[in-house]
Amino acid sequence: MNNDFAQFQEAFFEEAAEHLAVVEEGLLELEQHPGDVDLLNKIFRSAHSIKGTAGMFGFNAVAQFTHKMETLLDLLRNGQKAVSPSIADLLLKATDCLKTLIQSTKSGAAVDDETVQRLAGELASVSTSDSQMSAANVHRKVAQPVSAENGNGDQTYVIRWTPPEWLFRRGLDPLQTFKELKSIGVLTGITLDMSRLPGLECIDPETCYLSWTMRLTTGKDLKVIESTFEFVREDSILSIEPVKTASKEEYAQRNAEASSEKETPKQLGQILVEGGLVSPGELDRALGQQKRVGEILIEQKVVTQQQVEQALQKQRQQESGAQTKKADATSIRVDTAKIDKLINLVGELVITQSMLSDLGSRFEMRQLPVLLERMVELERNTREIQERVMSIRMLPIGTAFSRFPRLVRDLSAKTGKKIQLILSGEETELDKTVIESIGDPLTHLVRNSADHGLEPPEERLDNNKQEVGTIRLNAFHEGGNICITVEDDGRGLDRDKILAKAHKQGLIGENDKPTDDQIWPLIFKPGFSTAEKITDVSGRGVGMDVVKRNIESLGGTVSIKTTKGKGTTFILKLPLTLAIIDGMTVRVGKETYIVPLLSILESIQPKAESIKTVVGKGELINVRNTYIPIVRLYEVFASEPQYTDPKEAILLILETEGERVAVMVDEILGQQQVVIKSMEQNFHKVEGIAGATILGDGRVGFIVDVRGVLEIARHSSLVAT
Amino acid sequence: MGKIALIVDDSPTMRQMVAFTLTNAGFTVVEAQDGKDAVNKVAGGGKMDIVVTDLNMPEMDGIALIKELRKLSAFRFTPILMLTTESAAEKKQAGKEAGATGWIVKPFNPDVLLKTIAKVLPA
Amino acid sequence: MSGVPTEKEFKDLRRHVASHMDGGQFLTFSLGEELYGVDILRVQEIKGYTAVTKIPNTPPYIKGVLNLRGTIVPIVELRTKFGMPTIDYTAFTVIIVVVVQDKVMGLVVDAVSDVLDIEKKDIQSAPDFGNKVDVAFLNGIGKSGDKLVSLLDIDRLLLDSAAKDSSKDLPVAAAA
Repeated sequence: MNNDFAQFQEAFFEEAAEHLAVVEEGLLELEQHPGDVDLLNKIFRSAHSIKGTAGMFGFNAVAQFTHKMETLLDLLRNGQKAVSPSIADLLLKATDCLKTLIQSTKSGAAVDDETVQRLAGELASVSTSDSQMSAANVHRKVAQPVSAENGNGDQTYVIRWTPPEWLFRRGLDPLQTFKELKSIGVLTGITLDMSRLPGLECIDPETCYLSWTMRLTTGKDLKVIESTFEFVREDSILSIEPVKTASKEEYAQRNAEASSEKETPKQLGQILVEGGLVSPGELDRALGQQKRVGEILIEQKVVTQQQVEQALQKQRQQESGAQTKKADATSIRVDTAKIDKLINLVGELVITQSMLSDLGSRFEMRQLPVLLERMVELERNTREIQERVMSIRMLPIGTAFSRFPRLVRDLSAKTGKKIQLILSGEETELDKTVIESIGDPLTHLVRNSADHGLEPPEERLDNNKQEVGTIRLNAFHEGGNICITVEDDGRGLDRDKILAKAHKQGLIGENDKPTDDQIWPLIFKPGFSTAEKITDVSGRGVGMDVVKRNIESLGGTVSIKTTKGKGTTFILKLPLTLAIIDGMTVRVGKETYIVPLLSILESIQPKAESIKTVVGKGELINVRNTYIPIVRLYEVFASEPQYTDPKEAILLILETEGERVAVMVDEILGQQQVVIKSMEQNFHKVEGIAGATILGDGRVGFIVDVRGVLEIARHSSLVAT
Repeated sequence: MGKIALIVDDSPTMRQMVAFTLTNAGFTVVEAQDGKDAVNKVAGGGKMDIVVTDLNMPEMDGIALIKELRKLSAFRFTPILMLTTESAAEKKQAGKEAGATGWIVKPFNPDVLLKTIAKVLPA
Repeated sequence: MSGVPTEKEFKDLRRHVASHMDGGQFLTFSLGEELYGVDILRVQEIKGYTAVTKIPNTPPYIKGVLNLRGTIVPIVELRTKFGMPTIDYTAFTVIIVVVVQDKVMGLVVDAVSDVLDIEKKDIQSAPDFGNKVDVAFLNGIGKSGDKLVSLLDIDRLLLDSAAKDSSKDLPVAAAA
């Protein structure tokens, strides 16, 4: 295959992954709506698309396997076969197998051919019409050279052609055909037959009434000549007769030899069919009965059933390994419209820039208004470009949600609970990097809901609940952030159990009276699991802390809402992108810091009476009857402040992981979006600092890591406990 | 000025490949992701020199698209090639009835694509 | 890549550097009376001193960070790093921007002097006395004409500076 297409392989793999997701989701949905033709069409299209495109790259194994799936899907969508659970199951397995196949095509890893063959066989035997034949045909077609040069000895043919009357209406033009014939040989003696031409009064200018006879002398063989008429041959009256010459026999023979050399040996079945000994249907049935390698080996007692199963198990592991590896794709497919817009914007930017430099080269004070106007334009340009560029990285979150129908189905089977999954907000867009990173935390939360949150059916019925538990995943934009909620209608968190465990682990003193809001976050502590028994699904005490850590490393927060007996909701709040945050610029002495807007609840200028000092502990501020510890940022960052008296300073009430803290700064400078620059790139992580950014004057400013600041303050006893 | 080709395929990869080949051959390429998109793109009276369309597409499939295009005066005689797979041989008939000029069987290489286009594209 | 380099990484580095110590071109600069040299291949640029942003809770020799065309570059004050008394910056004070294993860092030095060719035979291992600098950061003493140049082990120096050393993190509480 021509190498020109090779550069699109990466695009193919990405697209294939998307199609696979569509197929998988569709199949799962199909279990609920077996008769949904639209759905079947959608699945079919995706499979078809993979097949077609895989073929373009010569990924024949993928194309052929997908073809088998497609054949079955075609029967389903045409109603020739009904969707049964076993068929759905087979198709799901085949989808997994196809995933592995594509993955290994990408990575060059070896494929467990046996499973591929087994599933292909199963697919074929379920489909009444096996596809071996047409797969072979595909192969043959590809291998077929377009032209077979004969070398010496031109042959003259007489061609008689009566094209179909509707020739023009299909956009065909006889002139094109003559042109093509001329390109392969010498065209002579063209005669036009106008006998069918009606009278002028009933002539239809869009109908072809003409016929031609012509002589073509060429070195090319008959097939090439026939190919000239490829699109009309079946609808035309066409004869191509070689003019008898002495060398004709020789020529024909040579031709036959040439073509047989190029053709791959035919398959037995094909020869039998062509010979009329068996019908294609009979062959298909026979092929469908063919046993797979594993079965044959078991029958011949070469291996045991167990060994085969172990091998299959191993293969499944490899498959899952291969799946986790796939996240390495780092390219992004962008709608050309988005790029076009960007290019236009850059064009505008260039114009603004040249106008500005023109202005600058001969600037006079009276031109100040013009300058200001240009600056406004520049700002608008820049902002728009920033927005557009960011939008390039934005993808719908649906890609991260797509794994859950399958997961929940499996969890349901494993736990014996009836679970209904409701997804919404899949179209909500967020940064690609964020999407890639939230998959695992979300998976854990869903597992947790299925395992711990939802009750077994009996228990639900006893509690007057619907037998089927619901897990709801929702995503929506809120301010500059995205919220993702994982909600279940299960038993809710058990306050007493968590409290008991917390006491046991010494997280809470025996006499403490923690509020609900203080209790729920305890489940995010490492090693904290209240599950009575450790289950296969979750409950090993690892995970929830990892979930929290992962979300926070993305600059997000997790919070919990729960009602006993009614259910639990985990609320994930994430920045839309990792590259830019909305921040509040604050000043402490000469230093400028940026506090993430997401963490700011309010800012206050405290009055003397609202500040309370607890001896030996620290200061607290009374905000509407809640006492919040005060952290002086200059102490944490060991810098020189302007004010040391809270009454003169500003307190930012910040929230981190459900805790509130009042951070004292000198002044609020304003609110702006800042581009986050890594400190780790050339240095290392600095406690209390989430990253750096370039300020308006070109200097570096630090983005405050609220949690980190609180931790430092705690360690150094700079904050009330 | 080069000729204008309309490429209709729901697979971005296929679109890219066809567009790449045609652009290199001097065509100006307009892409559409399905029949509906294609119809919208030519709704303003735009004329194309050639249309290359996939058959299996959401919203409006290739056959329906060809029928729609043939209704438009600007596309009455425009060559329309359909991309098809071997297994969809019966589609050729449906395509012809809808007014398809010809077909290209997937998988194909750039050469085949350009040769087939040359076959139907008036000079 | 962050964190403390392992023993092995150090060894690899030393081996790597050793091969570079076959002599070559060195950018020399002064700290007080003494002349130091750094492998010219490691120098990305030299720029005049500009104000930096202090990083909270870092050792005093980390002057802060600088915006170098959009990248955040930490600046090490060599005098402090080597335990020499600090002086006021002058018009000669420069930042030598060096690259070590993809990390970019700046060194504040009193003044740059020359680029010298030093041959291998003119490089001796550093004696561990009579020199104020921690010998661990020297690759040797080079001789060029009548000048003696302390050749810096830039990898060791900078990885050490960029690493989170034990004296990091927790701040000394300012006046309460």
